[in-house]
Amino acid sequence: MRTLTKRRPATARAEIIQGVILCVVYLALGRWLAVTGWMSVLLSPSGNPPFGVVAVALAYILLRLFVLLALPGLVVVRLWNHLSSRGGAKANLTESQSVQIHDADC
Amino acid sequence: MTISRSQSPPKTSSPSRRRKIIRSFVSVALFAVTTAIVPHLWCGRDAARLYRGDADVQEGLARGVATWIDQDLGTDQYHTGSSQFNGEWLLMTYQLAGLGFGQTALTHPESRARNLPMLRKCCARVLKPNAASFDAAAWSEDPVKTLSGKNGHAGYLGYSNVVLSYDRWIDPAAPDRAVNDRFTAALVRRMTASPTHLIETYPGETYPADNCVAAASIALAGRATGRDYSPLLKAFGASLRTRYLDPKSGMLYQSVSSETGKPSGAPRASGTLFAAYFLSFVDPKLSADLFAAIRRNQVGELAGFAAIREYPAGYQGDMGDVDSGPVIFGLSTSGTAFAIASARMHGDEALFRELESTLTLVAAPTSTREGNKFLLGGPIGDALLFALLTAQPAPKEVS
Repeated sequence: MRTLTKRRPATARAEIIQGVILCVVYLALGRWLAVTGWMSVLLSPSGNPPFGVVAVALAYILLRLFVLLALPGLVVVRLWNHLSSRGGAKANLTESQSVQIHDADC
Repeated sequence: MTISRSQSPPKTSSPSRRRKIIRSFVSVALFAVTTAIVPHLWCGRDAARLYRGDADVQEGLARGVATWIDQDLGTDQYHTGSSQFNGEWLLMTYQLAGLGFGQTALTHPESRARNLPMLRKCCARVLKPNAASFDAAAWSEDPVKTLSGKNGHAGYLGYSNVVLSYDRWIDPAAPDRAVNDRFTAALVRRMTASPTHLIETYPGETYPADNCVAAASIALAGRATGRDYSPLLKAFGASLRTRYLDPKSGMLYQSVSSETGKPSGAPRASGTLFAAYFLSFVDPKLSADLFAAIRRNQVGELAGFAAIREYPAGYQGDMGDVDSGPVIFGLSTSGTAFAIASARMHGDEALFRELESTLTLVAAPTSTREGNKFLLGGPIGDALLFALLTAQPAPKEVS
């Protein structure tokens, strides 16, 4: 139980750091693409833009779809898992404590 | 006692397994519900203000597009892989930007001092030789020097004249009114003389949607000058209804034979909705009918997002072209963007919100100190969306 309670905040912190890095990369990439205007090459189906430009623009689009479509759901699920497992751990703790008290009485 | 009890193995795994199953089920349900609610609400957060036409959002778009217009663009700005399409996009950038500035000035008269000079700048740019060079190359003749000739030149004359006419409509003292008169006269004469009521964009290529742009330029010039072009415009509208609409889908054929007027291309959403925008200046009822046909059959909706299918049932196309943009899973990039204007013009707020959510998701609007732009836009995309998002039904007292 002690190990579990020590690990959980560390995992949560790591997840928050990962989320912040993801959002910073996403926003920085978006800002850079806004300045260069290279995203618009994707609107040119018959064009021949450099591969690197297409790769970066597509990476941004995929990242954007992930951040806007999937991330809210993932955050809610993670939050619910976190809260429900905390509730479960508390319940277990209460149960074992009551057993201890009961046994001590015996 | 305490130690022995705490070290004993769990009695049975079935309650914990059941708990795991329930947790998995609840996780999936939570993910699905959140994904169905949050993304479209977030992406559509500006939809109501855009639909109402709030001054600050329209001005933000205007300032973003102004940064492109101030650059004095050239065809090297575009990467379509075709010098002809690059030239078309250059002209369309100025044309659509001009319409956007004009519509914003009309909606918010207090902004005229900023937007009218930008509209004038667009008018000046469409009259520069580099804006007409793609058309001159295709026809092997200059469209401006051959106004008395027979060739259609709808690709240059229609597109440039519509912004000149719009300028003149909102300000009768527009500086380019003499050019506007000459372009309008040439278009009227050629469309009247055509047995199909359509003129060619390029030699052997006739597109009904391009003719709707030309007709819009004539209608707006008529409003500005008081000249009566209604016989031609009525005949044009009737011809579109009877000859150039697919009877099954109600959508406009993308291309027709220059000689006979028989359809040579499938009915497509991109052309239909592009035409619906320009027909709002010519024949609002026909514009509404085209939008209704699209609304009936071509709208795909999922989790609060909407997109427009490029082809009606029974037709198949490729992965996209210069008209539609990329077609992904049958959904049209340009058609979806053009539908935003029709949804606003014809009062379909629910669809407007869903389309605007999709636009925000895919085109990635970004706010900078210079104004609002779209990451996926570039000059043509920003100008196009500016014109479409500020599209208004023609005021009743003027029409």
